[in-house]
Order: sequence, then structure tokens, then C-alpha cells
Amino acid sequence: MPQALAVIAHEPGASGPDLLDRALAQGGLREAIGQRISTALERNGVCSAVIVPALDAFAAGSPTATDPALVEHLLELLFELGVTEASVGSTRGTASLWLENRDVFMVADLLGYRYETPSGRPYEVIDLSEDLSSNVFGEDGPLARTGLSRAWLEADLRLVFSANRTDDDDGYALCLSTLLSVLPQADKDYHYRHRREPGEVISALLSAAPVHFAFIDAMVSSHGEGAARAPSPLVTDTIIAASDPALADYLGAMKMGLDPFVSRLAAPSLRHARPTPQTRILGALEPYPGWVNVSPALIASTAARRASLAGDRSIRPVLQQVDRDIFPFKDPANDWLNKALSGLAAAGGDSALLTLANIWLGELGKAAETYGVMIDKDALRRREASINIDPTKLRAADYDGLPAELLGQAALLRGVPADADGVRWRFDDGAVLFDGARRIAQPFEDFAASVEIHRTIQYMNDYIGGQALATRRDKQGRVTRQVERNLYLPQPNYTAIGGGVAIDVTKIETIEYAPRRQRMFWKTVKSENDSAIADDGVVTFEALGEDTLVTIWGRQHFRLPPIWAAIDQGLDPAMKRTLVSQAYGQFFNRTFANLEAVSEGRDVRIGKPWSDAPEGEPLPVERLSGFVRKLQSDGRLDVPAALKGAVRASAEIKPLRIDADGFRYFDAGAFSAPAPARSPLESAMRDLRHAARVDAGTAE
Amino acid sequence: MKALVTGANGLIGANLLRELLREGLTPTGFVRPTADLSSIGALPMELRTGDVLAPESLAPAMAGQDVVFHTAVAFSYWGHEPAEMARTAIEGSLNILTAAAQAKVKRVVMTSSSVTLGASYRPEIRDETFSAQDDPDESAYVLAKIAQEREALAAARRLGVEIVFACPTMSVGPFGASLGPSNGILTSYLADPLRMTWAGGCNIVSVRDVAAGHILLARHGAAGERYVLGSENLDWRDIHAMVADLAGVGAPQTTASAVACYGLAAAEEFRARVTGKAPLATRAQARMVGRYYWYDHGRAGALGYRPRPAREALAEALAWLSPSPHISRETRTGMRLAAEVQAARRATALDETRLGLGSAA
Repeated sequence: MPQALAVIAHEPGASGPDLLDRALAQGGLREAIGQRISTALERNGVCSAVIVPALDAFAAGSPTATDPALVEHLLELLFELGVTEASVGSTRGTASLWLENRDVFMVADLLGYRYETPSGRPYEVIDLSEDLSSNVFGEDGPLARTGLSRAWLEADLRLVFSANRTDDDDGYALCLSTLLSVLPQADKDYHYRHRREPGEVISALLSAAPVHFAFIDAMVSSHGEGAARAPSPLVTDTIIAASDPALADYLGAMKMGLDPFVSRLAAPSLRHARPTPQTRILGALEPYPGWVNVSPALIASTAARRASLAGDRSIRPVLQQVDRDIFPFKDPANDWLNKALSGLAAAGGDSALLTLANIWLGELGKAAETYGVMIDKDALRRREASINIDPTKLRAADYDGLPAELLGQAALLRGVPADADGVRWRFDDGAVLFDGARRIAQPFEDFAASVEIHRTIQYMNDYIGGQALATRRDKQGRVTRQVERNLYLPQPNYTAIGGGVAIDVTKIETIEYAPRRQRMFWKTVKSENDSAIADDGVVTFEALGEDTLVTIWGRQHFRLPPIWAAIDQGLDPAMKRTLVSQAYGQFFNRTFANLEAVSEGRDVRIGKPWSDAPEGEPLPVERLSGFVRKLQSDGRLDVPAALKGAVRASAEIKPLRIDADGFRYFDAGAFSAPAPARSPLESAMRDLRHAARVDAGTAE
Repeated sequence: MKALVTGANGLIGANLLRELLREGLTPTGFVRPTADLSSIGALPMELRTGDVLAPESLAPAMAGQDVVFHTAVAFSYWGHEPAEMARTAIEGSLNILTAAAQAKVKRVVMTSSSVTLGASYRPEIRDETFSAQDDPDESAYVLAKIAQEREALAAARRLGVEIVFACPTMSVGPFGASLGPSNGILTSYLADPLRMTWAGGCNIVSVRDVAAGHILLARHGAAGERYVLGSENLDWRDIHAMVADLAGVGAPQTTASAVACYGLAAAEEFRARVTGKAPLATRAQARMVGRYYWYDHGRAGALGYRPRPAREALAEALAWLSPSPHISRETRTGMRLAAEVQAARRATALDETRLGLGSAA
């Protein structure tokens, strides 16, 4: 069998099982599967297989799910080839947060899985979020500390069998998208699309547990603008089978007439699956006749909508067409909104309206983000970004050369006078060279013990997330070499107004330890979003008498968003100097304060952490419903009573208790008690008059 | 001396326990079953649970004690019903005295407050000869403390129990289970972007000196008397300037009018009702603007009470508050602690280590 093989089997009017057999027969796929099974049997005496189908359907017979008959046909074939244990596996998805009956077993049952093949061979349906194996993913990847199903990991044959669908997140949803249901967290959107980069997630999953064979059920596809929200079936009479899920997706997207790389989720994996001379592709690649894709505007606007986590999580349950008889809504508010609005986004509906709504939600999300960057940094969501270079490709010389290179540049600040904040800086090739020092009234030993120098960058002002990977330690276990990816809020913060993006830099670092001095050197080697040309530096902790002197030197060159870049600050040197001075003065003051606070044991990170709960966070609609219920139970929605109480002396007797039926019980004696002398309004006026006398100096 | 400390996890209670341990005494802490013990949990001492409002829970804790320090009270300007606050102060104190009489406890040192001496709109210094009146415009806390003193004194005479009242001024410092209004004055200033101060003044004292003062009164205080436990009398502007200097934040800029303070406090209360978070200031506190809570601690001084200066007290308080959740991350980012604060932090940590090792016990 060649290195990679894909077969596109198509015949109008043919049955699905026939086409699946034909796809397997061509090019040697059946033999390849048989070979893998034989190897397992020879090694272990048994052979297990797990098939992950698409179960993302919201009505029986929906084209967004893989046809159970085809999956069972494939199971039959596997048994024939020698498989001893076979399972259909999946996990709960985001829809389980807002719909009933969405656990794996219920969905499988409702969609038509019968737990035995046509010839009566039994198979299992398993929930892949159970019995997880830990330490599967590397510490430097996006799925660090995430578990993975032991059944999936240990299967001799891992197969994915996708439906053939358009998708408004990624343009299409095929095998790689279906593989999200291997991952254990229920709220897939929250954990694997918002929190992490979905493309990185899928790449990491495939690295840890490669899929051996992939299939696309394109017998009856779901095409059109409605995507999975409002599926529109189209008979396409095709089965795609491949030795690699990325290759299957590559061809599947081409059959839809799409650029396969339109998918954010699939793109990183596709780069490793580009056809090579060793790749064998059988079958025609012409697009499906009559096929309609999701418009690029809708895909782009859906991506924009993701800027608002709350908005995105609120709108999905509202737009999804659902068979309420089998999947009732959990929350009445969602049910009501869905009834009212899902029709607008239906297949035949006006996608322009949805595009517009998406853009509005996205803009709201951006406005909230900008407010967070400038005013309320703790309201921002922390960013999770994994190491994006291969640490094994770095040489010792890459690390060892840093001190000489950076200290040479640091010398260029010699003779520069410090500004009011004690900061020195000058321009160099468009970058800013700067340094600043702070004497902290703590003994060096105490300070260095509580502030680990290799984490210094994570304590710097406006650090919003990233990942660090120690690549070498000394005998005492201290980090001496490190690779680190850092994300900072847009710099300067005000550029967030004009579309400024997070500074995303990946650095290599060397750390030196001496009895009375510690020093870390870092150099930027990559900027994923091209936000930085340079971000290099040196931080030193050294003993100074009874205190600790902290010095930071840096060389920074960040790209400005176009709207800010259009203003050439260089034309007004005085203004530029003022802006740079202010920016670095603030950076140093806040960074030094952070280091001092870390030494006190504080957590100085800005932003809110992501929830690790499988269901993510409560849906916005649940929060809203809960808030309204609380207001009702507190009686705070009784506006007329509140107004009445404000102007009239309150004679209201508070109940001793309220029973489950809402009956209120009072203390009989309380009714004879005299009412307070003054209403709240009268009291407020009296207080204000008194305050005025205080201000006038006439209060007694 | 065997001593029982009620309200043991509160600001004064937690410091009093430490002071007793430092003196080599054997204190017993008394807290409610649901109390947050983070401020005292690690101390080498006996801990009893109960409630000053549940007399049956007091007797076992009182047995064998020489002195009872009754510090338990709801000191708050927000979140407590006035009736509940008064009940804890009055009924709780009566229960303590009754139980003390039954257990033949020699002396009860009751934590009152300097607010029972009243305050003035002129910069005058009051001593124990002054008494505040039951003015309905006073806050529920002040009214509760006035009533507590009156009722407790009468009950002590009736029951034949020796009682001494400790009247601390604005006590700041470490180890309270919650922030408390006194330390809250400091955090409010640090969180205020406008750097506002206001008219009037206050007497600032270290809670550690207040704790030491309680022990002094247990040994030497005259029965039935009140003793101010305070330190320096300062204008609010001076207090805020000192906080600013120690925390490395901006000095007070504007002196807010009493009307503005009242309006801002009302707005803060509204925000607190909507968000469920505590307000930075309340109307009850705003009503205190313009008054001088200035007191003379000469009577305690005659017994040997020697408080540290206000600046030192504030430095200790800031050293404790700075890493605590009572100061937000963003507020902390704008601070640059003075060397005195860092030194206070190290000294407190050293003291704690010694107590943890039991060297003082």
C-alpha cells in the first residue's frame, strides 16, 4: 500500500453499503485494514476497533449524522476481517448543555444504532469521556493535562466515519471536526473552540492517537447556508475512504468546491496531508452537482461572533433546528427563543440577517474586550496558547549565545539620562531599547526564593497568557534553559481601540544563577500573529546591601494596527518621546509592583481563568434565568412596592418565614408595634441637610 | 492566668490570642461553629465552639477561666440588621456575664468602643468622662455599643462580676477573619482613583496595642471603669497622606464635601445591592464625615499602656492587607510599598513562625 491512499467512490443510485465495499476494495484499503488486524491478532490474540461516527443530529434521519446502517456495515466488515471487539464511541457535545437526551447512549439509540450488526454480531456503544488515561498529551501542547479515553487510545484500530456537511464555523465539517467528539469535555465549543485553537487541538489529538482509517458518508449530504443549524439534504451518492482523516477532509472539501484550508479547525492538520507523489487518490474530484456552500460572509461573521463568548454561546441554542419530541430544551427561555428565531436562520432563510446579527455580536464582543484592555483587565479572559516551535530543533548555541548578544545591545543605553520614572530609553532601528531598576526592600535570598526568575516574564505588566517549557535544569532542579510563548494585551493599550491585537511572541531563554545574582536572557524567535518584530530582554535580581535590586533591560519593536500606523509619530518627536516615556514608565511601575506582590505570595495575573468543568461555565441564558428567579424570590422585582416604600414610612412587617407554597407567616405581636418615624426618603433628606450643615461648618 | 476569648477569629480576638500566647499564657478561643478560622487555626491553643446567644454553649467554655475577654460583636456598617447587631451586643454580653458569674470567673474585660464616648464637630479630644447619647441618627453599631456598655455595667453589678470596658479607637492591623470597617478605611482609600479625603479626624491605633491593652486591663484595670485604647489623633487628610506614603500611591487630592460623601456612599450602596459586593463606603459611615473621633488614652497610660505611633500601626496593617484579597490585583499594581511596610511584613512573619513553633507558649 502507498504512503497515503484515498478513494472517492461515486455511483448515482448505488446503495451506501455497496459503495463502501467498493471504496474499500479499490486501492488496497481493505487489505490494509486486514493487515493491521492480523498484526494485532498475532501480537495480542485479540483486536479491538473503535469507530467514531458523527452523532451531531437533532432529528432522526438528519444528514448531519453518519448513517448508522453504514457504520454497522463497516463494523460487519471489521468482524469479517478478524476484529474481536468493536465499539462505536463518542462523547456528549455542547448541545447537551441546552437539550435533553444528548448523552451518547440516548443519541445513538434515537438515531438508530442497534448494538448489533446486520448479521447479528454485537458491538458496544461507549462514552469516550469515561475511563480516561492521563498524561497522554505533552506539557507543551494545547491539551496539556487533558485526559483521553483509554478505549480510544488502546484500540488496535481507530476509525472515524463522518457525515458530509457544510458548516458556518469552518465551511465544512468532516472527519477532523468529528474527531472533536473523541475529547472528553462536554462543552466542545467552550473548551476546544473558544478556549483553545481548534486546529492545534486536532493536531495534538492526532499526534497522541493517530486515526488509522477515515470515511465520509456522502450518500445524502447536508449542504447549503443552513449548515448544521438547518440542514438541507442533498443526494450525492458518494463514499470517501482514506488512510488519513486529514486527507479525507482535503478531498471532501474539494468535492464541495471549497479551498480545504478555509477551515480553522482542519488547516494545521491539512498542511501535513498535502498530496505528495506517494499519495494515491482514486476517484473523481469534481464538485458535487447542485452543491451550495455557506457563504464566505457568513463564515467570516460567525468567526467575528466568537469575539463574544457569551454572545456565541447564547445564540447557538436559539438558531438550531431541533426535533423537540426527542430532544426537548432544558431551559424554557431557550425553547421560547428557539421557536421564535430558529426559522429566520433556516436553510431557506435570509443568511444576510444572521450575518448582520453575527457582526453586531462580534462588535459587541470587541467593544467589551477593548473596555477590558483599557479599563477592567480582570474582566478579560486569559489566553491559552501552547508552544509553537519545536524545542528539539534548538541547539545549545542558540541558548548560549544570548548573554553576549543581548548584553552588547544593553550597553547602547550607556549615558542616556533616566526620566522621572527612572527609565532610560532610546530608539534603535525602529525598536525601543530601554531599561529600569527598582530597589526592593527585601533580602535577596527571600526575594529570589519567592520570585522564581524564570517566571519573570509571566509577572510582567499586561501578560494575559501563554506557556513555558523548561528544556534544561541544573542539579538543583532550577530552570537554566526555557522556551516560552507569551501573550500580552495590545501595546500600548489604547491601540485596542483601532484593532490592536495581543502581542504574541515565542522566546528562547537562558538563566544564570550566582550566589548574589540571578539573571535571565530572552530572545524572540517567532511571533505567531506577526505582532512583534522584536521583544528581547534581560532581567537581573541582585543583592544590594540588605535589599534586592531588580533591573530589566529590553528591546521591543511591536507592530501597530493600520489605523495607528497611519499616524507617523516620528513627525512630532516631542509627542513621540512623551508617549514612549509614559508607556515605559507605566510598564516598569506596574511590573515592579507585580514582582513585589509575587514576593508577598499574591497572584498577579490579569484576567479570568477558563473553567475546567466539562460543561464549561453556565450558559448566559441560565445565568439570566437564575438572576430573574433570585430577584423574584427577593421581592426586588416589586417596583411599585419599592417606590411606595421610598416615600412612605415603612409599616411593613417582615414575615417570619415563607413556606413552599408562598404563604407568609407573621409574628402577631409585630402588628401592634409603632411604625418607624421616618421614611427612607425623609431620612435621606434629613441626612443631606445635616451634611450641608457640616460643609457649612454649622453642624453641632 | 487562664483566659477565654470570645470572637476569637475577629480582628481584636485574633490579636489578643497571639498576645496571650506571647506572654506565655494559656488562652481558649471561643467562636461560632461556622466561623472562618483562617486567622487563628494554626495557633497552639484550645478552641471551643458555641454562640454568645446560646447560653448553654458558654458554660463549658467558662469553666476554670480566670478572665473572659468578650470581644465578640458584629462590627459592621453593612450587611447586618440593626436588631441582630443590638441583640448580639446586649443579649450576648448579658449571657457572657451570667455564665461568668456562674463559673466564678474573676473578671470580664469587655471590648466596647471609643464611639461610646461620642465625637465632636470641633477638633476636641475626649476622654472617659464623656458619654455618647442614644441619638437615633447614629449608626446601628454605635447604638448597639452604647446600649451594650449600659446594660452590661448594670448586669455586672447585679451579678457581682468584675467588669472592665476596653474602648479601642480605630484599630488597624493584621489577622482579622474579615476586612472590617477600620482596615476597610485603608483599602477604600487605596482603591479610590480620585484620592479623596474628607473633613474631621480619627484616632488610629495598632490592633496589637489594643490586644496588649486588654491584657493590661485584665490585670490592672479598675472594675466598672472604661479605658480608651488609642494612639494618635489625626486629621483624615493626615491619615490618608500617611497611607499614601506607606503604600506608594498618590497623596490625597480633593477634600470631599459631606454632601458629596453622602451621595457617593448612597451610590456605593446601590452598586452593592445590584452586584452583591460590599460597598466601599456606606451612608452610616458618611454621616461620620466632619466629626473628630479624637480621644485621650491617659487613663490606660497610667496603667502602663504605651501604644506605637499611628504610622507604625498603618505600616503593619498595610503589610497584612497588601497580599490579601481585600486589595484588588489592579489596586496592588499601583502600589509601591515603603521599606517600613516590608519590614513590618517580615517582623509579622517572624512572630508567626515563633508562635507556630510554640516558643511563646
